[in-house]
Amino acid sequence: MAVVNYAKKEIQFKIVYYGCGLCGKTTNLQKVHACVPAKAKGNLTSLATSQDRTLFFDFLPLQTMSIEGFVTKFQMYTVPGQVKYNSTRRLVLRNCDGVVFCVDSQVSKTQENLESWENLKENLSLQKDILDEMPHVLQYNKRDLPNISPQAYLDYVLNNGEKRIPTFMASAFKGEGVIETLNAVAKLVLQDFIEKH
Amino acid sequence: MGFMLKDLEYGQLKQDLDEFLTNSEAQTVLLCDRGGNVIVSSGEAFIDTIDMISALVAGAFAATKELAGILGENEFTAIFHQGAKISIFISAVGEEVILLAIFTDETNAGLVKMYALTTCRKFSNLFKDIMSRKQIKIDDPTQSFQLAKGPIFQED
Repeated sequence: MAVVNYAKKEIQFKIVYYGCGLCGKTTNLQKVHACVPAKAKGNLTSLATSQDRTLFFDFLPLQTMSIEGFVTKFQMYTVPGQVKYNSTRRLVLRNCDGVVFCVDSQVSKTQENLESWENLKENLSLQKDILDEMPHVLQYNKRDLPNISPQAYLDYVLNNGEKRIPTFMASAFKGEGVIETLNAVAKLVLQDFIEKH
Repeated sequence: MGFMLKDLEYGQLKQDLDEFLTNSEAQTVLLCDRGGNVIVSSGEAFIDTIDMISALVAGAFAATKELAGILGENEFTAIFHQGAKISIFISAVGEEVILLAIFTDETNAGLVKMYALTTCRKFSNLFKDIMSRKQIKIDDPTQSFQLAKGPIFQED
């Protein structure tokens, strides 16, 4: 949850990119790091294996003045997507304020997306959080590839609740939809914070 | 768990942390939550990378907690990473906060550890109070949170 420092006029939020292995979570952060102006970002840190798979997390600090009079910091994290790293995913989710669920749009990845989606809900419930009550967005990534599921099908599978989750089409590899997704989740996090305070 | 720090509390934490920095002769000391957010820091060294350090320290602490669990311990309440010139000492402050000291070989690890444990005890009660409340009343009645206009992030 947010850390508010009235003396320093500073608020910090934590946003986590979640999703199955190789769905493009790290690529999202890499593109954000490449796109955002230098004054608004810190260094991108990746704790990855020698094969460039996320081992622990990627971390990117961002800074804005989105809340009047306060420096607003967003600490952006990704989780390792591989099934075997579930305990690590739980650690990264700790104290998180918002989630981007990154979906690999390829038809062959449907089952993995679903398992990761259920895994997210389960891991949040272990820390007494409920996904429906937390700001979150869906990003249907890899829209540039062949053999992808239509948006309607992905909505049917993942976005079928009473309250529709904001959804973004993206090709993180090409940098498309990345900033839109980031802005949407950041805005939801800020609105949620303001409503509660 | 979120934190809302009043001016007075921040002042108290900063003063105690400054004292710890001086006594231990460390380069930088900081308090962060277990989610990796910096709460207060003291010292000028590594200040540009303090967010990253905090995220990694929280990660390292969480990883060793899992390790402790496998070994039948609740958690390792302190961790010491020794380098050729720079070392770090990490210690738990209650359930939600971590104290970190970054120090060179010009000071003594025992000294850092001793003052760290004293400081942790001091902070422990204060954080119990901070964590037990959801909101704080601000003296200035005009103080409220308002979303600034325009997009939050723009492409360079």
